[in-house]
Amino acid sequence: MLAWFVLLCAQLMFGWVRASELTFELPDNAKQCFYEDITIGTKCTLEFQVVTGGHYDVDCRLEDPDGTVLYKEMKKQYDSFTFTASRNGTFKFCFSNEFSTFTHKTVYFDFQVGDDPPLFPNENRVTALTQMESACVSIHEALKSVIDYQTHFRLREAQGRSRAEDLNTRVAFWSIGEAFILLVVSISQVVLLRSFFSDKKTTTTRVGS
Amino acid sequence: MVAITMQFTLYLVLLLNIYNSFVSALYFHIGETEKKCFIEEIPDETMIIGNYRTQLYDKQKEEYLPATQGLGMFVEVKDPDEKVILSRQYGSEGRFIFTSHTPGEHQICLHSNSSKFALFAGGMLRVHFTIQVGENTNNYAEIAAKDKLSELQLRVRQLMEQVDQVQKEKNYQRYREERFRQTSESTNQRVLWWCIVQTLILVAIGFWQMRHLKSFFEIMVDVDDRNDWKECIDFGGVRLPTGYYFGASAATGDLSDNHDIISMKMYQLMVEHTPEEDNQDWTKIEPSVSLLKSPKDNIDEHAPHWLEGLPASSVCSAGNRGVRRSWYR
Repeated sequence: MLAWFVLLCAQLMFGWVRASELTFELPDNAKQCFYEDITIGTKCTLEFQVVTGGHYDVDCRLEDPDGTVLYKEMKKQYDSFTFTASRNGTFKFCFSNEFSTFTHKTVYFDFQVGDDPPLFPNENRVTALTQMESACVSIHEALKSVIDYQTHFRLREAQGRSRAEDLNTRVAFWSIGEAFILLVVSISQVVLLRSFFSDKKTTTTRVGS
Repeated sequence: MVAITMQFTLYLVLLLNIYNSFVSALYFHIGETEKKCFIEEIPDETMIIGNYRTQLYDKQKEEYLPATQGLGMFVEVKDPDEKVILSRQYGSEGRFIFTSHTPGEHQICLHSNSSKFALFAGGMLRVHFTIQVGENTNNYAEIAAKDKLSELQLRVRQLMEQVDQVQKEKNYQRYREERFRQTSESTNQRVLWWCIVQTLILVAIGFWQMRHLKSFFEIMVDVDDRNDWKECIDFGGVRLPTGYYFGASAATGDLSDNHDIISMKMYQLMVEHTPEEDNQDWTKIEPSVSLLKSPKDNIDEHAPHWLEGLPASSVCSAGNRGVRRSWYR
């Protein structure tokens, strides 16, 4: 009981570390900003990917509390940026779709602040981990990267599927449209050619009675 | 007594842990009538916990303060089939939990339900928001306390949960891949059908144009002799043999009247004939109009050469004399 108590209190003392992973829709000509309070010295990673929409690109910008731009990229499809917080305060990152006139985009981002919280605070205890425990830790890390890869694969697949469905609709519309145009053009060709031979006013010269 | 106190403090610390997750999370600004939606693509039977906390901008103190009681957020969750699975109003701070039953894209939408517009006064609402999906929803401290697991057991439990999530995601991937394959196959089929149909249309139109343009027949009439020719009839696809006559007939109903035909002019427009058209016997062509049934039976009678080939355009002017008979009865 006491051990749990100590454990939980210690967890509180370590401060909160967190990762935020969100997928949101960014309408055309819109800009969406997110803010996060970060303490000095924390290693943070921002990763984003455009899932659906247009040319699958977006503008991204990351600023520190002073307003200094730490990361700025225009029309990027996906990227990952790691930085260490140089001071305390609110960091701001924005995604902008202002260059697009009518396509809205779905953007996925993953903002990791600090390292993952340990399951127990006694990672830093003096005695080393047993073999079982260290094996568990390495399996845990491996599984975390597996889940990470799965997420990326899922996003790529969603992107591919969105393109395929776009293609399908376009092919359907185009084939109907072109069949219609073919018929219209051929009929008007015939009508036009026949109009060459229709001469309403003929000048006839009468000879004799 | 000690045990109870310990347990109490334990749960208090647990609660503080949960509260901590609210305190400093990612936040964004939302307007008064604005609706913010987030998409979560998840496999089935996955639990999602969402936490939010709102703050309102106080103009006097020029900072964000916790929102007043009247201000709440409306949370709406839709499943991949656009069916609403959660639709509830929460206060200025809320926590919603739902489990997905169908795999796919779930949409989580938030918008404020401010009843008094004066509260916002043109400012923005700050929303602290986190979403935990699948394995991250587990609070291991709580699980350890409840099931009384040792450290190793807790680690193994965590690994089991992670592997479970990987497995669910893999199953979902199989389902997604099938959808993708269906879409691709449908596109493939559509392209194939369209190619065939378009080729057929092109060929049919080609044939029709060639036949139609080479064989149209037009009659124009100038009744009052004012050199003002009006179209009487104009149709295509006419096939007539050579060696026959054109005749004119008239009908007046009960009254009898005279029709004079002053002149009847025939014009032939020369076109190129294909070799097979040259080789056929022009005297033996069955008179016909494409797409129309012959209105009268054709009677075979001997005829001198008078017309040659096709197409023909005929001009006829009529007066007040009767014409006795026409060729086709």
